Amino acid sequence: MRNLSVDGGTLRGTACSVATVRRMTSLVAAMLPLGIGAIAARVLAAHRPARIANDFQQPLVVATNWGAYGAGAVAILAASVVLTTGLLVFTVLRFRPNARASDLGAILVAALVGIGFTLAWPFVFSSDLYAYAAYGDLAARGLDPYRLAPATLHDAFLDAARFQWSGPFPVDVYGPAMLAIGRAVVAATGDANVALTLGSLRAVTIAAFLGSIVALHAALASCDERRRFVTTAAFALHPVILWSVAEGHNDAFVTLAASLAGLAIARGRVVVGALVVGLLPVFKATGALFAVGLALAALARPHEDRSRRALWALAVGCVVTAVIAIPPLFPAFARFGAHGHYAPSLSLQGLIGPLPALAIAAAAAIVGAVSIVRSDGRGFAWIGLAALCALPNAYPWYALWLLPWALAAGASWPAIALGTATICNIARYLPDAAGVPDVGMAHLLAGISSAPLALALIPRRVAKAPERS
Amino acid sequence: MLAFIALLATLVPQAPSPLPTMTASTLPSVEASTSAPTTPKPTALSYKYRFVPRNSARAGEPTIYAVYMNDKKLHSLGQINIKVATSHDVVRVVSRSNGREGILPLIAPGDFEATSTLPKIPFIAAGMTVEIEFIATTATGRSAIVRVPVLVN
Repeated sequence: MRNLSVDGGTLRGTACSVATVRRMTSLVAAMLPLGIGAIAARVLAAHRPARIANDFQQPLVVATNWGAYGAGAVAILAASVVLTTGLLVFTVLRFRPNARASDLGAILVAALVGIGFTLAWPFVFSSDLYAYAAYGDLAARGLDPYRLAPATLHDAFLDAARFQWSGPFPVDVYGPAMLAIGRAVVAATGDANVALTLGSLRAVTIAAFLGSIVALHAALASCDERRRFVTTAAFALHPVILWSVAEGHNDAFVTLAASLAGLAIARGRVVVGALVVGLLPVFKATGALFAVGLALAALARPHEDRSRRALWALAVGCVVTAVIAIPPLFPAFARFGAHGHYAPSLSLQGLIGPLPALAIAAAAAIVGAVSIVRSDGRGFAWIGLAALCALPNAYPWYALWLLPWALAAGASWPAIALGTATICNIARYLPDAAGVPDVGMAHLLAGISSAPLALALIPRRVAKAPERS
Repeated sequence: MLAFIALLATLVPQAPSPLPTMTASTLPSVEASTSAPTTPKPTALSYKYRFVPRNSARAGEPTIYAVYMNDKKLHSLGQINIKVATSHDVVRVVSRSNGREGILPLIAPGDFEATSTLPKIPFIAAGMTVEIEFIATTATGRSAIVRVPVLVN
């Protein structure tokens, strides 16, 4: 009431802050299913069978081969993710017409709340964090994590990882930058407190993710405010991404570096940005996909000076990456060559076989590349779809580097197909949490995971309705 | 070869009636394995080694979800703690190696546990990896088998 008696500027400011609070409240409310899921998961954990009691004594509880009980845990997560997605789509579309730059604060608060809800779950579905800590521990000891850890070597990190993998844990397949992060966290948290180290790794991952949200929003400053809002919110509040970040997956570091590179390019520092994109695989090999995207985007405008500079810088980054990141991986490649098993599961490859799926991936990649070179943004989504089809196992946390391709494409059916697939990939947790399903169930789940890909085939003119909205 | 066979024979907790060395960790009687569970209290034992089989489950078939042991490396005359997590329809779990068997008592539905002491293992077997076979059987006779690799020392 007091504001009614003051000047119009204050009135506008008050109306603006009220609108911001409304947006924040609505976006936070969209995260509520993740919180309700956490409560349901805690009730489930309180009624756990005696047979898995020892799994709950681990520093970070990972649902592993828990049978019907594990299937129940995944079902709670799947329901939470689907409900959150529905609420998020409704909320984002509702506020889209009046989007403004200050929405970033509301998005960040909602993302933090969503991550807080996911951290409240009493278990996770991936053991990867144990491996990160073990690799950091091996590196800190001066040992090579790209080779199998010596069986005679024991400490808290190695034994905790071995418990998760029924003995020897996989060799490191990540880049030197990721290894340096793991090593630094292990060194900072001490050599015996596994829970503290795992918690710290999760905290660092969350910080990287929040940084990537800010960088993405800043990089989109020249975009239409409505598209900027939708893109930032879709990335920052994607429930599977929030879950993956809270689980501590290192894909968040690739996304942070890619977002910073995008920011540099958007602000005219093309060489710096392209160089960083070329260096992304020093975190994880999947970063190379961003280099492909940037190269195609540059080839779309081959006569522009900044395109040429971007290609040169990208090439330099890729060469540096090849020199510093690939040689250490040779022992890991050799081990996979000797002992690796190619086992597609709950993916398009699992459904129709590797060769047909790879043929579809190749076709999607060609469509994507041609589209991008012709300045058709939908090509980015096709590249993301190609990557998804080429994966033998489409793990949920891949959403961190798959979703940006959908967002780059803008509103279109290929983008909707890719975005929906990143939600449906939550089903991939089931074989690990509940146990390997029989053939019939595996095909059913692979079909559910892969069904959204068909949306990409809807002709463009039918897709004009969502584009207008 | 003889030493290896002797080693396998000594690895598996023996189950004469009554068992001389194997006891359920929450101290139910051996007969508890064939009667309704009366002590559904989880154990406080620490298991450093968990073996999770990756075979696919079939509807209506018994399942062994995991086998827990105090360590992957077992020592001559040392203690061995075993816990086998199964589906609820399993009424009996047997550990087996080289034709000799030991019964793991039922602690709670789907939870079979035993503690035992290993006999002296021939020095020639030190460093060997051997497999202990666990057979879970339902009341109707259907069974599931899991082989767990362990290192002897």
